[in-house]
Amino acid sequence: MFTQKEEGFAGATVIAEGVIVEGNFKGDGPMIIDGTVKGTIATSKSVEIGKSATIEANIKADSVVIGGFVKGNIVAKSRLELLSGSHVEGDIATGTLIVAEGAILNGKCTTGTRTPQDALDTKSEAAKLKEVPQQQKINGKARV
Amino acid sequence: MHFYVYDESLSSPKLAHAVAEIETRLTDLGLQGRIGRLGPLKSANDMIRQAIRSGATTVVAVGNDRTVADVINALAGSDVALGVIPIGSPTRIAELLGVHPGEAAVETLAARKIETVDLGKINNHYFLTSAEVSTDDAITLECDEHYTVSAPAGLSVITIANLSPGAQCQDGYLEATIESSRRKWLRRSLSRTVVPFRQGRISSHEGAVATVENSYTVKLPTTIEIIPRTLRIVVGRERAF
Repeated sequence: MFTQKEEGFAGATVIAEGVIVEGNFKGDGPMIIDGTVKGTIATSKSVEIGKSATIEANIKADSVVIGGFVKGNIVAKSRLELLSGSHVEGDIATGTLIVAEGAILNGKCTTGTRTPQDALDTKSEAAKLKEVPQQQKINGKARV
Repeated sequence: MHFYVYDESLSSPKLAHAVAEIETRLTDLGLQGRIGRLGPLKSANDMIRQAIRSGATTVVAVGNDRTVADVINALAGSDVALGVIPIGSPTRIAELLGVHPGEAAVETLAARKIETVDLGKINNHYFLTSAEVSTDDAITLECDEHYTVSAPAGLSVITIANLSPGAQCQDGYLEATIESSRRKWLRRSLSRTVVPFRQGRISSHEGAVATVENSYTVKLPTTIEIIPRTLRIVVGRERAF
């Protein structure tokens, strides 16, 4: 888990329960978060948010797995998984969305082949969504 | 040309036999050189600077971790290689470099396999392995001017590692590990946070102390950073990186 390559830190960044991170939390490797993060989270690899985690941050990563509470927008380039008991308050954009029974998502959801970042960045979001049939949109409260 | 920095403790009769064996082996392999002995009035910095001016290409720390730490601080940033012959204790740095005690260390020196490694810098002191803070106080680590990591009060051990079994010393990062013991109901659980960073500042409310390289202490708050590829060092085959 903590092994590294010769160039660049390739081990996992781990935030344990009880530890608080504030600011622009950027990393090159995978992140496993069981503590509290306020600000932004960005990595080119994966982010795992544990059941005990409390996140008040926008998240940008290649893949994201959520088991705890997240308040913020999420951009997961390839994959976003909401585990049972997870709670997301914010917009999400991802290539593939997996939602377990009991997960709560309150926000706009964009999935499909379009660049996930574009989906959250573009102001004319609503107009574009109508033109792209494979994208789905969930407005307001949704309980799966 | 080799220059040997002998730790003050090597003059002890207990270590006389080990030192004699090593000196014999060095002569056998044609690695003999000038010797400088550390003492209360002799700093490693001055004697190494003078040795480099006299043409030393390898400075060998003969002694324990403290000896190596002193030589590292004198050599950081220079082209002169560092060799290690571990005698006494503790000798954790030599272990991580794959250098075994006794005559085996002389064989490693003769093989001259050199790696260029990063060094950590804490409050203007260089270190190869780690700095450790053990405190009941809340600790804050400001990383890369982007974010702060705060560990709550409670028994915590914070290790800032450049070289350890988990941290490599050629990746351009320091690795901060925060191990906290938390009471949950009737059980105590150990949690571990691992954060890589390049430069930062570590502080605590009560002004805790960091033990660097198991050798010297630095009072918090203090700055800490990685200086990439700044020391050439002779390593063994079983090194930790």
